[in-house]
Amino acid sequence: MYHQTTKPLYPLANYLSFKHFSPTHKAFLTSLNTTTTPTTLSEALGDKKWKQAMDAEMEALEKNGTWDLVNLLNGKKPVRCKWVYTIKYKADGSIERYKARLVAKGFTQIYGVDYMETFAPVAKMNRVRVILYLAANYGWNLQQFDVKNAFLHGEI
Amino acid sequence: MELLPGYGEKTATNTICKLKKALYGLKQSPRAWFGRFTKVMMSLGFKQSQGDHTLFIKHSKSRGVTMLLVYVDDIIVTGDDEEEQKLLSQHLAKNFEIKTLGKLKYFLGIEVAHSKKGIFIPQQKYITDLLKETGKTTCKPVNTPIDPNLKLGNAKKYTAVDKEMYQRLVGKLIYLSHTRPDVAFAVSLVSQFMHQPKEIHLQAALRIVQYLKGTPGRGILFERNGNANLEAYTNADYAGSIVDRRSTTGYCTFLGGNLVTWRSKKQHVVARSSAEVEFRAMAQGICELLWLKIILEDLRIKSDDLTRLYCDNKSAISIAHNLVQHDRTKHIEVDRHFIKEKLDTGLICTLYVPSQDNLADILMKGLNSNYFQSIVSKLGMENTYSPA
Repeated sequence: MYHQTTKPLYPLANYLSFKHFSPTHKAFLTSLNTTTTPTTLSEALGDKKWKQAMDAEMEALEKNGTWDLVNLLNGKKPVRCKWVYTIKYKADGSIERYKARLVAKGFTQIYGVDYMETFAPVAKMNRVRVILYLAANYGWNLQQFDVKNAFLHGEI
Repeated sequence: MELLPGYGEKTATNTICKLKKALYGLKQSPRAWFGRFTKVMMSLGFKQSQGDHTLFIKHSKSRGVTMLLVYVDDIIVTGDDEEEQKLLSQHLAKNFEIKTLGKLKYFLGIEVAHSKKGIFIPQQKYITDLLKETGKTTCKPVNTPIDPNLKLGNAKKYTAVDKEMYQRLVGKLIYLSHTRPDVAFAVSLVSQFMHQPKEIHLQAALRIVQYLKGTPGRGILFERNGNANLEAYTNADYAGSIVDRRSTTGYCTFLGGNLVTWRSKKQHVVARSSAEVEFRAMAQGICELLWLKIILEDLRIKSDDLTRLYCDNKSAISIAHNLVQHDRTKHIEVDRHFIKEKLDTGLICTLYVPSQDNLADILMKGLNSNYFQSIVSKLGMENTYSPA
């Protein structure tokens, strides 16, 4: 079986020294060097922490009732999907968590067959400024929220 | 969708997952999300504003108002009904997984600073990042974003530059003009050459960066003025583009004395007289005012009945008031009737403003340093420069 080698031919460490960096910066650099994000499934499955991240995403998807298992109709092609792995860093450079996200390969979808309309409005900056002025003028408090996994909530 | 790689591969070969909820990456995901969000908001008694579909408003019985603005997964909530706001965040948390970030501080790359004077929005971090990326951190700042005498054309003789890099740089500058009306004209000019950037265009774009270096902390200040009156300034240059002789419209609107919206845009038809271009600019300015009025009405905010539109071209104003079939204006009939109709209903009045006091000047041509600075200060822009 063919294995892609991830090891560089001429490692940077041969030519660079980290001696003069501050301890925190050094910590950040070593974390960069020691943790790599897997690009293939087999790579990820071999690592416990990535497997955990995948299980967590899987659990969220199942809890959300994202899909039913059905038989494929003749002549239809399923949309393919893949895993995307990212490391989330904190502001100081230390690792916050390992994240695995299942994404669909939307580029294989065909307009009119797999999807119809895609337009979704987003707020215009003009509007944001109007709201900010009104908040300033009338002394309203402004609150901000962030929706986690927003797109998983949509029903199709 | 096919079965997940790494999960459940033991089942029969023709089994697939039929999606009931959206996934990241699907074409219809954004629409599905927004549809779901709208449904939830409606069930909570909110109304979608007609002026903007991403603004949701609820008027409570105690005459309070709560509004919510959504940008994909970022949400801003404000209003004078704190009870309703608490209730809203509880309901949202029940329906979705919500992270409460507290008081609005940072939204889409724009810093939001609260002070006694009001709310101040700079994009200092964004500018610092931009300077780093372009390697202009140590460059010498300039006073204006564009050379007043510069006329940019296609510049066929000049050497071409990396298109992708140019487009990325200009794209960033466009985003920056959300809080920086002072660079709006310069940015609109360099963005006209996205398809075939040449050395001279890149230099013009980098000059904007150089200008930003001198004023990274500049942004708009929203001051408490107690009223919500609308005003607009419009202006246009005449046949300013040397590529196709089209003119550039500039307008800016003020709400309660604070600058809220502005635009610098090349008109898409060629005009035959300066009155005609001003006239088109007036029509565009009126559209913007009407839209702001719709939003204010949705929010039931009282504003002065009369909306003022300032223009520095007397003939454009007189054409607006008299629908005489002037030989030179017969081809702009639609705009003419549109403006006349709005004037007749008493919604808008047009006023003359001398050229040197027209604030929209900054949005349609390059200005010299002194004039530029005086307009910038009149626009209500503040500078809180703190060396990073």
